[in-house]
Amino acid sequence: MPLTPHPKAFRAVASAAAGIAVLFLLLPGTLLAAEPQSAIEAAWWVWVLLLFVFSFVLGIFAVLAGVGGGVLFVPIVSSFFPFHLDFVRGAGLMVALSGAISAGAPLMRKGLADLKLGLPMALVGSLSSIAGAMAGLALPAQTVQLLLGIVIVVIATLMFLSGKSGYPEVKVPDALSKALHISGIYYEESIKKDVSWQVHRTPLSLIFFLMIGFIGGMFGLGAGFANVPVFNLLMGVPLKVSVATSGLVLSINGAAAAWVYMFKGAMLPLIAVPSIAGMMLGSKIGAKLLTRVNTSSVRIIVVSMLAVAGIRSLFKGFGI
Amino acid sequence: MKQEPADKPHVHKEQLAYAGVLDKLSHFAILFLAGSYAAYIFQLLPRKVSIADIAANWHLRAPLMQEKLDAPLGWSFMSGMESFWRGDALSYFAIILICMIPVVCLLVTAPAFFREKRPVFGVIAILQVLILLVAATGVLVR
Repeated sequence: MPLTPHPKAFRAVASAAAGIAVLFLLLPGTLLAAEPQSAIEAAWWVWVLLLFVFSFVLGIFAVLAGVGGGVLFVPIVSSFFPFHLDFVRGAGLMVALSGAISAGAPLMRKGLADLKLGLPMALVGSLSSIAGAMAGLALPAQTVQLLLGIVIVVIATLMFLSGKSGYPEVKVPDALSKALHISGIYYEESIKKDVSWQVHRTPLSLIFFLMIGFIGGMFGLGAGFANVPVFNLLMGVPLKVSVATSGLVLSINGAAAAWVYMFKGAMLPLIAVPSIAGMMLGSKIGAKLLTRVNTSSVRIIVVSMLAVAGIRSLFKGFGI
Repeated sequence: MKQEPADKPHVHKEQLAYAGVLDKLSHFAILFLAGSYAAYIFQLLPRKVSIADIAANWHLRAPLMQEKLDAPLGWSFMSGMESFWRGDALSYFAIILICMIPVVCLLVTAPAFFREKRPVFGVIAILQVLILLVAATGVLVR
């Protein structure tokens, strides 16, 4: 059945987009100045409130565009808010982790998030996410900002170009996945049928999850943007199972890396909590709008936002 | 590969155990997060570091801010009731609670894996708990 965009939903998304645009227009005057100190003159509660509203709007867009919160949160907030990148990355991890945790239980009960698929990936990913967080906090801030810019621009490009496969067919599972019995069945409501799945290329995927964990920990990104394509396109996991299991992996990797941020003093509740609250509320609204909004248009907006934030990070990294 | 609908869901017991604990803990942690943040922001409890001081320094790198303000860090706020019973410490503790949720879920799930004759995953769950606990001790960053 073709999806007819709902005018009210369009208005809501347009308002959210306008909100972001206004924020972008208002903020640069102070925030894009060379010295961030000029931006802290506003009362603290103004920034906290702005952060909550901003995270709320990002939460709506994140769901509609099918990306995690962290990948949008870190580059945009670090580019346009006065907080140091250290605290933004700490908050970004918590945003991604909290979202995954709050959505996890129903997805597991439905058999969409799969423990046997997720646990081996989380095991290697959590080790590298700790290493990534340590590396990110040890490197000079400008270098991290520059690398973040590169990573975000690459992600935006991949999101623009990459495809996805609803029900990939895996004819022969690999030896490791067979030994571990990594396979499953879930009930697909849209076609009213059970869908069985099995996987291949598990050893190669473990290497990918090692790299993804490192990047996620280093930049405080949720890394769902990378987990999902590896599950879906590389291993041959159905898209819905990939998205849900990515949340499980992310919740474990995020929890591991968050400790590094906490012990390095890079976790400020003042910043992290409104970000978590805003993103979670926004995600709930986004989920309600999901069936009524033209998600491909939203995806283009989000990719554009990511590209702008990535380029801005690159400029900051170059000291421009 | 598609099949006809089954009569019962195809979810393993250990996964249901994980989901049950996750459901309860995530609701509790989110409520605690909201309550403790309200206590912090509205100064219902004393704070270790004033919000104005944090706002004046949040543009600094984390170690620099820590050096200036001595804000809650790691488990430092657990040194006594006086340091724990503060708005900023409780709000920080809420974040710790969220990070501990996967540990509790895995601890509950690991024995279920062994009971269900999937020992490899029981071992993976235990290894994962160990990694998370080692990270939580802070030994890796000292």
